[in-house]
Amino acid sequence: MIYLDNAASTHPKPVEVYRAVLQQLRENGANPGRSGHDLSMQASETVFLARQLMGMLFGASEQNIIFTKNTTEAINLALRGLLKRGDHVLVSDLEHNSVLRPLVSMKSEGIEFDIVKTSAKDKETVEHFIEALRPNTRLILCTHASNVTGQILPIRNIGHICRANNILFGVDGAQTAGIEKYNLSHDPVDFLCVPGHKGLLAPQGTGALILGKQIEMKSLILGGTGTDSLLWSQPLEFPEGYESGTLNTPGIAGLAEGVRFILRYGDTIRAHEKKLRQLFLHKISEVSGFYPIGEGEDFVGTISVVHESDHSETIAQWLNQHGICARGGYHCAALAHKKLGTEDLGALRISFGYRNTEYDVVECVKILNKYQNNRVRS
Amino acid sequence: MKSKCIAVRSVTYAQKAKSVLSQNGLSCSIIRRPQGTLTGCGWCIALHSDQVKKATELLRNNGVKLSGEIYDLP
Repeated sequence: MIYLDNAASTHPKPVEVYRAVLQQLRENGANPGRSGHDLSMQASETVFLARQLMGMLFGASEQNIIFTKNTTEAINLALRGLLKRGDHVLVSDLEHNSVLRPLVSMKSEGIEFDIVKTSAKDKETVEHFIEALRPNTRLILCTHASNVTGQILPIRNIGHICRANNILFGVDGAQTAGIEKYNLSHDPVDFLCVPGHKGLLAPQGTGALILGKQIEMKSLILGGTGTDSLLWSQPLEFPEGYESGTLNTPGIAGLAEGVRFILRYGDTIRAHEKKLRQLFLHKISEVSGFYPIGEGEDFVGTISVVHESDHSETIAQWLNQHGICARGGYHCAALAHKKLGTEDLGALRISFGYRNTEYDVVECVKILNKYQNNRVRS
Repeated sequence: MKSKCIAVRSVTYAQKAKSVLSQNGLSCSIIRRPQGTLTGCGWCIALHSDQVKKATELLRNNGVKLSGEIYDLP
């Protein structure tokens, strides 16, 4: 089996991640941050270690890392926590449905948004954001990299515009956390939404909303925080005030090890995945009937191709029958597929991970070539 | 030895406090907030009473949010 669906969830994970999850499950099932006994305190230490390591990787303070179950929850928390009636939001035309759908739903609450056209050229993308600003623009939320084409957007340049105009800037790091570098102490980014289970190589059910500085914000989930238990109202202390309910401690133990792995090997992984993308791009150009989509100045290790006439799900099925896991369809990205003109056939997405090899690329292209040859013959 | 405890705003701040104080050579431990408070559960940093002033300053300088209460420990 060749796994090329790392943009959806990375697989496999480093062995240290499996070990940490299992160890936490077997040796300490206590609830972190709730009791004063030794096991609960040790569980709290596990969670705090993960916050420290995340803080090192993203240049953020431990208390500014709010654990969520995925990027989507982090985005929802930020949007619903920060926005109020009358606010205007700008997003790119490459956003995931995790950005689009909450904003569409919030229209009925008096929150407006506009979709900004991105370009292959970073400078043009930035200019489009400037042109779309309104006096009531409160937030720009932008993906760092498209989950369809892998194109990296110029988030720091967009962030500087936000700083200059006193606008909040949020980044969807679903495809870049663990891949691209961040330092929220210096970057012009107010918040970053990240998954644990993708580039950070952690288990599913982990993610975070990471703040550069604490911002006044409502909480999405209200309940137990382990503090001020006699109060009837939610204590909005960072981070626990935004993490009500028992945390996914085994997952977070795995997240700590995934982040530790990235701190050690992240640079190598980034270069490796980009190299595989380049190789795929080169090899697929030799196969008739398939065309890569998306342009840009820089990319993560994700690429999508369309077939001249067949639906992407058919081709993904073909790959699956030949032992290759890749994703067809629309990738929960209505905006991106509208922009790319792929709403009819969707796109076949190939996304590389740290364990993929050049052999995987060659094998995948070979199977795609076989598909085309069979099709031509029949 | 007389001990006191400094109340902090959350378990994360308690752990951060312990980390900051340990790095600065102050011995401390994390404990639950003593009984009798109006708002219920919480977290404190227990340490020798002589070190409270220095610890408070270190914690404030390192972004640890304190609740503003300091308790005597038996």
